[in-house]
Amino acid sequence: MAETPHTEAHAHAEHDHDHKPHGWRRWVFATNHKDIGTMYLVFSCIMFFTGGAFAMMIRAELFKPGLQIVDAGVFNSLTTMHGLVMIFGAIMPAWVGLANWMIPIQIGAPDMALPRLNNLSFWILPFAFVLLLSSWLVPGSAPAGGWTMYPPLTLQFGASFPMLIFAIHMMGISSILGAINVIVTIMNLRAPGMTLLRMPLFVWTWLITSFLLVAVMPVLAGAVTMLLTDHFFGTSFFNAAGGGDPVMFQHIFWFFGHPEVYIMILPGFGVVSEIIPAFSRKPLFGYEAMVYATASIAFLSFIVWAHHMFTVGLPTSALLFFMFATMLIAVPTGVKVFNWTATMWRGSLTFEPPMLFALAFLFLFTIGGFSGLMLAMVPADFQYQDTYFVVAHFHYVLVSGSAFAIIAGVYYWLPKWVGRMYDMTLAKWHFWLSAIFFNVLFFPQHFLGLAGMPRRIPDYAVQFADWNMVSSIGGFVFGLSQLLFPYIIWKCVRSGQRVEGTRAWDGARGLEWELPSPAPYHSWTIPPTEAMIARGAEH
Amino acid sequence: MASSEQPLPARQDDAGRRKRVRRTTLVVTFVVLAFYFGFIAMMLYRATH
Repeated sequence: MAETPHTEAHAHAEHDHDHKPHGWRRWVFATNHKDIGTMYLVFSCIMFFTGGAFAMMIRAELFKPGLQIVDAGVFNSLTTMHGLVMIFGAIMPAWVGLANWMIPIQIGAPDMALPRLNNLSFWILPFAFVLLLSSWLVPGSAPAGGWTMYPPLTLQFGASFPMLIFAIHMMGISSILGAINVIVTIMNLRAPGMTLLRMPLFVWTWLITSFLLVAVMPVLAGAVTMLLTDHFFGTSFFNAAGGGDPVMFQHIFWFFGHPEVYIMILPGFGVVSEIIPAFSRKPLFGYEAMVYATASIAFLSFIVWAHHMFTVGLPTSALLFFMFATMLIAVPTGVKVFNWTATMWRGSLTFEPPMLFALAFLFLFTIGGFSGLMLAMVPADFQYQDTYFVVAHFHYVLVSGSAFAIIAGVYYWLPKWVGRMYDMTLAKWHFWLSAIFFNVLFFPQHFLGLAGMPRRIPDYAVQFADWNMVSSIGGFVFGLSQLLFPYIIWKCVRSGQRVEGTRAWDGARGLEWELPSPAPYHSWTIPPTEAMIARGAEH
Repeated sequence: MASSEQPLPARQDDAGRRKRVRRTTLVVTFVVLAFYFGFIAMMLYRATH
């Protein structure tokens, strides 16, 4: 019998240890996409709990009116660092980790196209975050002007300012290198027969995300470079006293910032588009529409930035343009929500943890989308601007859109990565605690915002006390319940029940499920067959 | 074994693929650098005119 890729992969699995570097060199000099993916995911997990610890302190301070735990300066640093760490340290690296693990094995490539660059883009990150987090120790403490770094406020900070700028540059370089690698890999290393419109949705969403990264990260880098020269070299890009314009920074920042939101969410769309068909035992409804909707959302994300700054005094024509352009995003997003729902229609549904988190994503992200539509309306936004309503909105979008999708992805692919199944009961506990207390944490913040409570304040009027207490209790339980996640993974890796065969889930489709479990250290050294690709591309 | 299970013909030769990888990398890197320096140049122009 001729050797097929399948049997070849099995042979690899059996002799896996022969080809794997050992000890610290395996990780420091890693060029294997799976090792680098694992490092990204571990790093992201550490940052998730670091940013989460800042959030716990924020909620502890807001448990009651008055100042109890931290002073106002530290509180501002906590909100700033929470945002920076969660966005650049937790969510983005988690997506790059999943991309590293999954893209090569989903397109039938033996590795990423640029493995040494891949190593570099990971190893920049720990240095960036050591630099950023060590700013807590310098005179004046950590940055406190908000993750948006608006001048002139952010220019008033001391030693932490250049540390912030340098850290942002390093994170940006890391992201850009990662994006270049993804684009080059998908463009050049797809297996023969893996045409663009046969690619899994996760690969498609990551390809589009990479173009967003390539387009907007240099803009962020340019903006913070100009902040740096304003601070240290006497330029006046954003200094009104020197003829500059601080509002210009907001335009530039949000030209980066809004696509950045989709950088964090689009791969989540991809993960959910993998999971829902698998647990509905049906092909994805409207595959091509999903691809075009993703591309449309990415395009629209470039022309809506000023909805973050409706109250700065824009001309009415600009307000109208940005309002309608923002509302337009609801169309492709609606296509996606409809297609996910239609995929489940008359499907043979089961509710394992990946599906539960994907459904939570679907419901909660839609709620976040609706509050986004409210914020898109200019007259309403004049009321909501800088209130807790905005905080509630973007946490509904980002925690459910990104964090829940990342968790869903890990629960979906973990059996493929380690060849073992995790404790399903514990994972369901993780889901229910997360889903319930996520809402206890963030839903009351809509009420607080509508009642007029401003964001980014350590103290508040007594009228806001009750809902803040509820929100903080939700925050503590939500935060603590996340500790289950690394425990479930650790337990799975150590003693999970071995997965028999290639498919951990009977409805799963795609090239990754043609490989043995655990996926061999070197996979697809012989390209997959046409039949394997066709099985995975039953759209 | 069914013929559909046979591996497809080998991919392009390594040299060809390496060339394509290098070309795509250079193009995307050029776009990144153009965005970065182009953006600062645009701001400098705006600041001085």
